[in-house]
Amino acid sequence: MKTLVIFLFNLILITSVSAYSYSAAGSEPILETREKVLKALENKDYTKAKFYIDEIIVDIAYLSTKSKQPLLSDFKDAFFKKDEKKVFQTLNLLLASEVHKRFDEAELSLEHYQKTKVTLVKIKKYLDLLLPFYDKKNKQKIESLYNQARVSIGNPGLFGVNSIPFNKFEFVKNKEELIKVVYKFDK
Amino acid sequence: MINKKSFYIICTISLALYAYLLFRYYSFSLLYDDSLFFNQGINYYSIVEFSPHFPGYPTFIIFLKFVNLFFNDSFFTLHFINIISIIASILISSFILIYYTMNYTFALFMVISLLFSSLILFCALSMLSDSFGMAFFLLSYYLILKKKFKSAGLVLSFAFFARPSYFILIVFLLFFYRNKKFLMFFIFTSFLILLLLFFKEGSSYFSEASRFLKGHFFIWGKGIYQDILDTISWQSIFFNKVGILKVFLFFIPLVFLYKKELSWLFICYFVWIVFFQNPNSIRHLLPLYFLGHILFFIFINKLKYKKIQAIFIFLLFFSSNIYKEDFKSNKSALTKAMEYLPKDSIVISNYGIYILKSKGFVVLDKYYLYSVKSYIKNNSNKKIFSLSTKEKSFFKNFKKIKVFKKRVYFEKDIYLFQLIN
Repeated sequence: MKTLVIFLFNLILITSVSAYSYSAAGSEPILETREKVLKALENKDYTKAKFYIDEIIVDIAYLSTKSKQPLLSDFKDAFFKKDEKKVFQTLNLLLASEVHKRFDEAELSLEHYQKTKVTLVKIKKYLDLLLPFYDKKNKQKIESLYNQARVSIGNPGLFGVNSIPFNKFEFVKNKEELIKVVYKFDK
Repeated sequence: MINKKSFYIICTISLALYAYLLFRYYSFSLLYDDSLFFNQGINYYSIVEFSPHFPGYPTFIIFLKFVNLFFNDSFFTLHFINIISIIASILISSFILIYYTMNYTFALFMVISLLFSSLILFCALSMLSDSFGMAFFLLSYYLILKKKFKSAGLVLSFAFFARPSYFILIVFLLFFYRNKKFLMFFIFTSFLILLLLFFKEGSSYFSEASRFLKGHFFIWGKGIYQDILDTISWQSIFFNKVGILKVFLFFIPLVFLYKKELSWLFICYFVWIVFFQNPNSIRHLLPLYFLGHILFFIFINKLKYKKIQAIFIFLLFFSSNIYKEDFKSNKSALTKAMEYLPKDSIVISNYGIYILKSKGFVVLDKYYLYSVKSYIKNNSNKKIFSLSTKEKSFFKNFKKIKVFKKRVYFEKDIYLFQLIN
């Protein structure tokens, strides 16, 4: 027993971990790529930054159709000119396009409450990262529209008690308005 | 020697006075995002939306919801339950000690020693589920000693769903006693609670479980940004914060293994937190404090010489951190920082992020470090603040403008930095 106690005492000496955050959204390739690209830019490594963008080229191409912005050529142009600010702005547009895409998915899944709720939670993770890039008015507008969209998906309640049906009209109205604002970053 | 009656009178007065002082001096003051999540959960329960986060702490929330019917103030309810749970934990641990030793004098010493503990004060004010889970765990253990296995199983299930990180303690109890009634009541109650969770949260409960557990054990818990953020080790917690003397006093009884189930409970939980829990959450030490105190007094009860007993008790009181408390502040450092910061400020933090957001601040989460760095670079004309528990700014061109002192010993001071434009 003495040996065990000495061993336990020694355990204290060998372990070390660090602070943590709940903010990690989980497996989200767009967010992870954004961090990797910005880390590469911090080290002025444009080749690596471009490599990370190329890894999600298919996603970017699809998201361009949502934002109606030539995201791929914007990235290409920014890397060519070594324009860090432009890369940063395009990454924000990419995130905004992901919000747009997820809202479209949420609209399609309105009949499945749990699925829609999870989608909205993930949208919130993206919005939380984007909010600092809007002016005060647009920030408040986005927060308010998101909350209204959240309410409009209804709630099945517990065993049907206090259940609220989803309101597609309200959801689409809030979604459309939010999408209009989400691309309007503060200059 | 103190008799049974005197023990109950002195104990009741001490605990009531302690509770009164806590309520009088400290109002609720948020320090952790988890407290905010619990508070949200009282009014709107949704695990995926962090209200509260996985695993959902259902028994704690049900209890909070019930108590909130009387207070109709979710923050106060959370504060109230924390203080009452700590008081209950102290009382139940004294019952356990009395069961083992029949020594009311030592039981009273233990109550006073626990009341003189900074960790107890810290947990009483933390507005989290630790003290609630502890109270139910200790109650279950006491019920086992009293051979009330059905009730013990039910109460243990409540403890598990209020504080799942005590599962190692719970598994140990189930395995050690291996009583059919105890096990059945635990499983049955747990099954009913899980069923309720499933009906409430549906399949999203499992997707969130997967995301959260992966994050807890492989991303957040271990810390992928270990080299840059608030790195801390259990070594510094035990030696610098708790104190080597107290650790020594808690470890000595283990050598003699007088009550082996209690000793093994202590050892299992110790190994669990050292390997799998984050030292930033000092509250994880709470079970070690209760089990350590009970074991310590069982140990000295076995000592033959009264003078040696007295020396050990003196050392235990001497090892208390309560003497390091200054009792100058009744608000958490984060609350003070939020009161100081101008409205709508842009704040960089990896601490109290959701609390800051709930108060209307624009928060840049340090978890996404390079996004934050790029933001600073591209918005150097803006007034940007940074909060940290470290004295030196992690980011370049930030100067320290204010220190917000911690409320109690086991909390941390918060430093406020501002970007030099």
